Amino acid sequence: MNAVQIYRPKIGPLDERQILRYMGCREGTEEAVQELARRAAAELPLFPKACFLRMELRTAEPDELDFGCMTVRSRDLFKNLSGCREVYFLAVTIGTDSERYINRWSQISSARALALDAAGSVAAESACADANAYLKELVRAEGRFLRPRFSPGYGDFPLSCQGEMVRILDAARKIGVSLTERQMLLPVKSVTAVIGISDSPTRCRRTEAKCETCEKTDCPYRA
Amino acid sequence: MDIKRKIEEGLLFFDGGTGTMLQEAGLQSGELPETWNLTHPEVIRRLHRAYLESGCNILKTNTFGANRLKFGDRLEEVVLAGIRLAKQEIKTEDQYVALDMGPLGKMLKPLGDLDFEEAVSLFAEVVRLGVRGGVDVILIETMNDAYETKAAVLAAKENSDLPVFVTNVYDERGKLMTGADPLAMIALLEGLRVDALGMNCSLGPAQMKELMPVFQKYATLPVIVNPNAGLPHSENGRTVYDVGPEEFAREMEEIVRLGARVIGGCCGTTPEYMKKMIEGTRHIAPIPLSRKKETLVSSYTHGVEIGGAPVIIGERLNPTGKKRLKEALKQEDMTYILKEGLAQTEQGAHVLDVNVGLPGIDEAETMRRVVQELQAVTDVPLQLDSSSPKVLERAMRLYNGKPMVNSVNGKEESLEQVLPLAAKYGGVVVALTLDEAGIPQDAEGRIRIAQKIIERAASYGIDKKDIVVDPLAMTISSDTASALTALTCIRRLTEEVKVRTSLGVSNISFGLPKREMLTSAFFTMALANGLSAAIMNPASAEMMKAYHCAKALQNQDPNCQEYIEYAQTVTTEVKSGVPAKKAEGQETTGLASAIIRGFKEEAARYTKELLKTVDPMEVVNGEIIPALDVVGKGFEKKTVYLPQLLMSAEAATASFEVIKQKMGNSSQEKKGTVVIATVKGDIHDIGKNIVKVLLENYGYQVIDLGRDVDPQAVLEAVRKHRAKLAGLSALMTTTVPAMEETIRLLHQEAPYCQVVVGGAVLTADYARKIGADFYGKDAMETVRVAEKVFQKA
Repeated sequence: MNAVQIYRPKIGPLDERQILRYMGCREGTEEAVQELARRAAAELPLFPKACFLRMELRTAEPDELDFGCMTVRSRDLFKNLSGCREVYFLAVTIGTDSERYINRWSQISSARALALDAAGSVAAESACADANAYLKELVRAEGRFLRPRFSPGYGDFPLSCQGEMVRILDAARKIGVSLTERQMLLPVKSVTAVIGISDSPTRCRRTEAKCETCEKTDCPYRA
Repeated sequence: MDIKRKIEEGLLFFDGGTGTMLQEAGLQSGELPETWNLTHPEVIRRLHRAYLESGCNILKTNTFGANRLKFGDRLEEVVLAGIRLAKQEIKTEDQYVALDMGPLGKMLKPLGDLDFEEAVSLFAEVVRLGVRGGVDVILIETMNDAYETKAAVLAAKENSDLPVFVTNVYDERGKLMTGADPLAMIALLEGLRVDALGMNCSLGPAQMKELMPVFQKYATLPVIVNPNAGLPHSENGRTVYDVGPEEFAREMEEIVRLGARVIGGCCGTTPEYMKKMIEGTRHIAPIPLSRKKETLVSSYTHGVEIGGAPVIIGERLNPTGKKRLKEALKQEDMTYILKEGLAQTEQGAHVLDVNVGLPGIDEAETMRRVVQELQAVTDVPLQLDSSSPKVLERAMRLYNGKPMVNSVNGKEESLEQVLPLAAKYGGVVVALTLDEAGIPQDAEGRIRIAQKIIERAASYGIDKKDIVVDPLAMTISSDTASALTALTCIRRLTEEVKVRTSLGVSNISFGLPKREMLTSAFFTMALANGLSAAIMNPASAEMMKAYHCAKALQNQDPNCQEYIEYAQTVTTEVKSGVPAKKAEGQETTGLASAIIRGFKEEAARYTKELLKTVDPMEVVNGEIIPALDVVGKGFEKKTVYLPQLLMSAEAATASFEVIKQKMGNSSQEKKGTVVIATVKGDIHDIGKNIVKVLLENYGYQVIDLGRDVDPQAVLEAVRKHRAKLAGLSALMTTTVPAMEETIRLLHQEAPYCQVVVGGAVLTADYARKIGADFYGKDAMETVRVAEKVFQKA
């Protein structure tokens, strides 16, 4: 019987170029704007937490995934997890302090709020990547590998699954992540994901399938 | 025996963990443990029995997660069964059943979308079932948010007479998930008059031990400690806790010696742990309970003690004599109000006074909104200030923490209306020394009134430490002895009555020239006489000098550290009339250039200079608007990025604010009114705020309804202001339906109003599909839409 475990992700210095990208700046920008990003990276209070649960996966029908206490219909997730008999459910957040900090600045200065919000997104990704790396180490000890992580909302993996995942992970209690009535994660800078555990290394060199499976081809942040 | 009496006699023992043991008995991940009350009653009973046999005397019912959100109509059945299973095992008089209430699993507003009163009623339902089932005590546990804790306590108090125990979850920082430290929780919970308080879950006994001194120092109530069996780690895919029963028992013994009175366990602990713990501690005579005398107010993160170093209460959120604030209140301009609050905290205020009393506005509703929005952005405690008990009650109920309450006075009516509120919601009440006969001339009379208020408060169970007396400083321009009278009162109240004091110090100089000089001298004298808190303007350099000097001189500033740091920020005296030159470096050549480059301070300074010789309208049309146009067009051509656009917009806002301060609102002809909101269910509002700043820059009056706004509220605002344009924002696909509904309602009921929508998930097509009149791809485009709409008119 597996239990939900807690992990404290480590976040290094935030990538300023990435912050600038999320702020809507494509290339070289003025020093004052770069300074905004730098300050945001330095100031945003971060208290990252993650929780995860190892689960079994059964796939009897095509495009249908049975995780025991949750079933999902999704062609894209099915593709991502093909051949996996186990997965991790993962939830990651950077904490509520950052949320308050962004809200505060949102009242005083939109420019700073924009930068802080971008920094928060970069921090959440970074925390997620670290948690992912931790899980990778865990399965490496068994000689196994991880698939690129896949979140509700990617491709045709229904966003509504987020609620079920938060509940199964007991994420409200474990790491303070909950959902609004309209399926938004709280704190806003939080992520849930499914990560397949497989016996062979994935062919894809990307560790994170994100943009390639997304339908929003006109997205300004598309990599 | 009644559990409250039992607790005074000696130690009590809670049971240990449930979750881990149920998992071992076969509970699946994702399965709700409370359902086992119905499906596996024998397992639950066996667990209870095992804990009683190990010596525990308080059983937690298996109802931790039982609420309507999770169980719907099965709630009653699950809770009553849970209570029954525990009660069936009770054998002796000194064994008790605690109704276990855990968090709802939803975040409350403003961080989340669950309404405070909704949370109260969800808990209330469980409490009423607890009463029906016949529990002995209500245990509110594993709470990781101060506000939700308050909701649960109010529900318990309003729906039962049972004792209420509360334990919160502190993390390795010693704080709740949403930021509160133990001092904040002690202030809040003792204010709400629970019967015991403490901590559980997340930490092991060693970490909880670290937090004991603050409980021992500040908590009058018995302290509960229910730790996990250490910290969890993973072993072969299983969660294992790192503290065994012996070590747990040893640590718990120390915790008892540090002042804990009710002990037990949480995750990872078993009957074996409890048995060892009880064997190791039952012989210890616990530290006697004692009344703590510290006067505490709190926010949702920290407590502020009144009576140590002087406390600065920012006075500027009070419309009396403040034209700009009056205007902001009338127009519901929250941004101005919040900025004013935040500025005061930056300047050094420890507490903010909030008074919104203004003829022609709904004071209770305005107070509610201001308090809630202030608490969303600042974590200093608030002093809720109103002459209306109705307004106070609304604010005290919703306030997240233990507020200061301004004020009660010696009039019978005031005593009868205000004191019960403080008894119910908690709070430190400012007591004004006046009564039906007015303000006594002499100190003697004022002290008599203070004593009367203290006595009456005691009859409501309000301790003297929760009364702060304001002996009223009247201007010396009408009575030259009034400062002396106030000072005498302060000294005698401090030394003889032994009560904390507060003064609105600014009054003293009313009607006299160079007021700051006089006020700051008075402030220093009052501090020397023992004043604990002052309602004052922290923007005044003179006042802050007096504050820092007094702290150093009164031995309240170790090593004069703060004074030295402060002294470095004090620039050399400025000659009258000539503003200190700011360091150059950011070379700009005039207002337009400052705005284009996004330099706020420069923009404000140039505006001030220009206004000396140039007509305000010319400043707006000749400098600000052309500069904004350069940046706006650059943004549309993609040569300027969003952050630059915003920095310019903020520089322009700073410039407009200077003009407004000087000319009043008439300075700027409004081109039209736009109502904006983030739709129901959506709590992201950075995008909406960006649109607001730009619209305001371009001369539109913006009514900002905030986030998570009901369609009906949007309609009402549109009607009230006859707005021709409404802007709606939604960030997620899941909230677009609410947007669609709002558009439909507006088109139906206010056809004169057109709707522009924006947000991450929207496209032009999508916008059309849901019936919007316009799609604002970005903030600039929304400005263009507004130009189109209001040009037509």
